[in-house]
Amino acid sequence: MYGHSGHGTFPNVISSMAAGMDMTPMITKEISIDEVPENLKLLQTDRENCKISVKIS
Amino acid sequence: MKTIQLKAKWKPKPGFKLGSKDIEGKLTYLGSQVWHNPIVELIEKPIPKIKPNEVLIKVKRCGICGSDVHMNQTYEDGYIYYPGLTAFPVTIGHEFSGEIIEVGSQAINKRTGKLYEKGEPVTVEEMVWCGECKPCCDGYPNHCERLQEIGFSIDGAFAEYIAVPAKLCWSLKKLEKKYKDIYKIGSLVEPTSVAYNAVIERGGGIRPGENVVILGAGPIGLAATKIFKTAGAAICIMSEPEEARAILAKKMGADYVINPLNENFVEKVKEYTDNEGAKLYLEATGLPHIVTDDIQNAIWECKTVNSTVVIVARAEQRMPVCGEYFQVRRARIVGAQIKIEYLS
Repeated sequence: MYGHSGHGTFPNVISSMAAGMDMTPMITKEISIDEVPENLKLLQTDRENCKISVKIS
Repeated sequence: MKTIQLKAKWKPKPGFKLGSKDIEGKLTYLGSQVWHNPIVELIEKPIPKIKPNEVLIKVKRCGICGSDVHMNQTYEDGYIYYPGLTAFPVTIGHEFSGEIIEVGSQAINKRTGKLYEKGEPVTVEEMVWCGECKPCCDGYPNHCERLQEIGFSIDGAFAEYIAVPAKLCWSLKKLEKKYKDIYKIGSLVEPTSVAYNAVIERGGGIRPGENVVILGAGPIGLAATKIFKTAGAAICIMSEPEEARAILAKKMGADYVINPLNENFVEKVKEYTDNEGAKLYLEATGLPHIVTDDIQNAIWECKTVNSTVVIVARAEQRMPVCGEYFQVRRARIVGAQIKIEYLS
């Protein structure tokens, strides 16, 4: 099945990031919560973006 | 508080049978069989109250996942793409980070062994496992018999606040040394963990010095690229036709990028690896009817024995597998489902 829980995965990912595994280039666009509905539609066809990150606070 | 809510009409397709854990009109494990005409909107909801074993988190960042897109995307008949566990209406969003602002009387911080303190920066698992059923007690939380999922069957994090069990929280404090914005990278922990689970846990991972090939530079393929280079892959090859994504793949550490539309995939893999091939091939395109031949021909024509092909991407189409190649090269195919379930 699917998932990510257990087996030390979450803490290992955090530790790897702390040791320099920088995943932030994956974020290609930053938006506000109000812009989520239109961006969900955009991603149905958009091929340019990778991860859209919503700044909530 | 502001939230992004998704709602849809419960309209089971002919032949749909209510599953043993489904709740008529409310919850199903087979979302694409039931939910019709989804609507996503910004609405106000009350700030949630916490239980003794929970914390209240002020959400800082939340990423958009392919599954969020698929819960809102429909086929021509109006049914949603997303085939998994869903209970609507629900606040969506599950790739998040935030600051703890309220602590339940039993909310223990794994980092300290004591109660959480206000201000602790955290990220949270999306799978809400119970810890008391047999699969949980046997050490398989992803297979919990009473599984709920944040942003799918219970309210998620496209919201100003979220209440979650403390046991699902992981501190981001150690990111403070290296990152100015720990919440930005913190919101990538969940999707990176999905890729990590697929390639390290399910795929068996690699040893330093081995080669890997990834097909598809979406978020999973890109996260896997970085994970493999961190794990010591000698050569990491990405196959991706879109220019923008190919550039990202290089940023994430890919040594070579093949454009399968105008280059010969197998010849390039042979060229870049001195005919050795790769220990692990990650299929992250969702196009198994197109890429299976490329992968198995690369395995056949290269020298590496004991390769693993990990299938992590969505597909209804079947894979045309040549069993002979897998037997002679001692190769194997492993399924590592992400939250988007792909069952042929």
